[in-house]
Amino acid sequence: MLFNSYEFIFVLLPISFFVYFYLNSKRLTTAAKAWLVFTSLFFYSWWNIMYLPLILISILFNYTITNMMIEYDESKGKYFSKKSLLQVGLLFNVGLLVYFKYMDFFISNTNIVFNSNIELLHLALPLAISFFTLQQITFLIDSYEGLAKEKNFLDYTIFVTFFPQLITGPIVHHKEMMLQFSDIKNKVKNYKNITLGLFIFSIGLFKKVVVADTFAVWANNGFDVATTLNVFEAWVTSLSYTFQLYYDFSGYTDMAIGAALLFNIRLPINFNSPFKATGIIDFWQRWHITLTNFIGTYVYTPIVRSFNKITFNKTMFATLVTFLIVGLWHGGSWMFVIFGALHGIGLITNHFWKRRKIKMNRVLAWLITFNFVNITFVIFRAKDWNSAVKILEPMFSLDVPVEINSIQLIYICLFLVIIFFKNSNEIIKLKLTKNIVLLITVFLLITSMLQLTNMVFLLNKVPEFIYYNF
Amino acid sequence: MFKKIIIIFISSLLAIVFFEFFLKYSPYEYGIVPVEYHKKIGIWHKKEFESYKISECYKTKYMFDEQGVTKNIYDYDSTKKDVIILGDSLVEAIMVKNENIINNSLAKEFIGNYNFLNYALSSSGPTQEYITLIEEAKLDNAKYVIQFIDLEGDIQDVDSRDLNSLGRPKVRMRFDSLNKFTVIPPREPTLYDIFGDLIGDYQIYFFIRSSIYHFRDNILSKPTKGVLTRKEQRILDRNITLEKVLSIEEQKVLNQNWLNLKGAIFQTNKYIKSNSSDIKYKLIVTSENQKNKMILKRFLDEQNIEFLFLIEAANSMNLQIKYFECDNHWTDETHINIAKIVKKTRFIN
Repeated sequence: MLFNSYEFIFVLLPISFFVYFYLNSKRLTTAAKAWLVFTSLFFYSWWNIMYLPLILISILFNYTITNMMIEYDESKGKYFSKKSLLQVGLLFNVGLLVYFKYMDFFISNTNIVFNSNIELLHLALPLAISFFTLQQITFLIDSYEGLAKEKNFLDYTIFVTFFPQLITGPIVHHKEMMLQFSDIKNKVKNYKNITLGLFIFSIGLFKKVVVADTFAVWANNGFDVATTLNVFEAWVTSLSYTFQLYYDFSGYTDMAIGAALLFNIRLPINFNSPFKATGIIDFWQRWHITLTNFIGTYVYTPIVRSFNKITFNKTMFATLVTFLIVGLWHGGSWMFVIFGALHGIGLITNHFWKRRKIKMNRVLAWLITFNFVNITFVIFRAKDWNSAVKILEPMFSLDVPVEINSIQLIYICLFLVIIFFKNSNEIIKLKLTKNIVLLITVFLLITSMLQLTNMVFLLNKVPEFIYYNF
Repeated sequence: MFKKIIIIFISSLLAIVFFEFFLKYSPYEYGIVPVEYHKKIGIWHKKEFESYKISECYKTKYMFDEQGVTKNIYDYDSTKKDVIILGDSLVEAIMVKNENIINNSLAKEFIGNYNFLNYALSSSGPTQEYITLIEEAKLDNAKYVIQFIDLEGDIQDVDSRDLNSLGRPKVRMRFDSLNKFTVIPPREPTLYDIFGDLIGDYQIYFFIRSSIYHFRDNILSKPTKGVLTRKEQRILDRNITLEKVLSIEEQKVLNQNWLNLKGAIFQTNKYIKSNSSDIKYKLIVTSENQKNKMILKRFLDEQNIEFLFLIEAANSMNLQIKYFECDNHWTDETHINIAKIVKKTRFIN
């Protein structure tokens, strides 16, 4: 089920909200949790019920492994070493990802290298597999290190499946979320949170339906339809995709944060005006923050720790490897690997720059960073190298176009300005009066619903989120 | 509470205004309504009006003159004779560049010999075109009346039943014989029509209309004639008329429609001749159904009305009759080719 669908906005979200708090008000807290698990699994299965067993098996397996580790701590389990349990757990999770996400990539590359003819599996990517697997890996490692503990299966299932963050995050730590679920104050309706939640949800819905899906029309046209582009069209295509990706993903995150807040659960922010960044290090501290944190903690740090002696060059090497993994995490394609490699190189350059304490004008730094990100997003979006070149080559051509689409130009200029405005996290911190919040919420919701109807009419379906493909 | 209701109302109003701007200045532009209520015909083009016709395969500026007729690329010359053109949306052609629409293409071919006046109107058949001729066209200076018949579509358009309650009002004619008929005036505008006229100048009109049709056809599963694309409609029409085994009811409707079509042509000819015997009434017919063509040919021969089968004529001259892929209206090239065909066949001298 999509956040930007009628069935979610008008049926699942309100019903799950009212029943959850009704059960809590009757002190049926276990039933309330069970209800939340049920609605979350229903939300997940709406997409394709075929994948329900997969997520259930993953949950069951990880829960068993972590509990065996806990038992080991409590000196009850002596059959396996704690480390071997962790290794089994990691192997299972990574294996699941590799099988569903990268098998065809490996096969096709094997075929190229060894001139073999192994048939591709053409497996459909199970929804949310990247996110629920990462979240469970964090729990597995945290449990190994004694930082997390969960013996209650229902609580563990909520931690993994809680529908606002199930599909594309934000990736949360067990502690971050479950402490909030166990807090007695959070079991009653909080009108302040409801108002704020609806406000953030409406901002996210507007970002997705009105902004991202509009830029998507121009981005898709440039990437998928047009055969040749002039300099103006190439820049419009690349910038449209950059804005589409940001507003699509940050819109989703806002909706997730907003929906979770209705249940008195505060999810971590995932974006902090990434296009204001004045360096690639700065960019990754603002873009997909929970993934960056995950990668930093669970990939980069272990790599660095594995060195006998930590040197600057070795940490830079770890950065590059980490970002190759970040690229590959998005899917089995060399374009994602190139994207990761470019960002790794960008980060290394930025670190060298910082180390030498060279100062750069902030506007110039922003300009370089923004364009670097914009160009790498072309590679991120392109199906193959030729498709990327189709956009990148004319971007640097000197041919002046005869015709310019003024609406596209206005939109691009407008959003180049808007990125410097306050982001949704900052807006909610403003001391807005209740009436202003109501005015903005209703405005955003009605506009979004009108445009959603328009999209349904034009496409006969609700447009998906980009990150559903990862 | 009252304050909150006021806030919600203001906010909703702002959202609708914003959405109108958004539709206008975004890739989702719909265009605005080119017609208004006409108490004799049902609808007629807005006068001194220009806007864009937008679909996935074109965005074309169209313009109507002070009479609501497709604008010519030249000034009217009263010293020259008029050629009155009748037809449906294929001929009205607001999706074709103004300079290429049949009246202007013909003007280019005949280099200023005539004033070509295009009275074509979308969703019309020969019955509506007959009323249009009486109500809007002037025959005082006419030498020709050229009517385009899109046979399979027109057999449906002359249906005298009121088929589409959500559609715009439309004059209809029911013939009992070629000489005996009843004109069924367009229905009085409903609240829906009045609302449509009020907001027809805004993008949101087409958005609301499309949404209603979408809801009705996809959620309630009741497809209606009005929402089909021209292409879908043509396929449907062709299937209906090609259908070998029709139910008794369908056969009755089809027979009545044929009578209405023939009656409208007969009465148009009669009306023209009653004005002046010098005016020539000719038909350009498009049809892909041999049986229908033979029926019409026999009738036109009996009535001594000159006609041209367009597709055959185009094939014989190696010219193409092409349609826009998205809605099956004639393309610019087709309009230019039709003008060439008319010139080469000396359909107009």
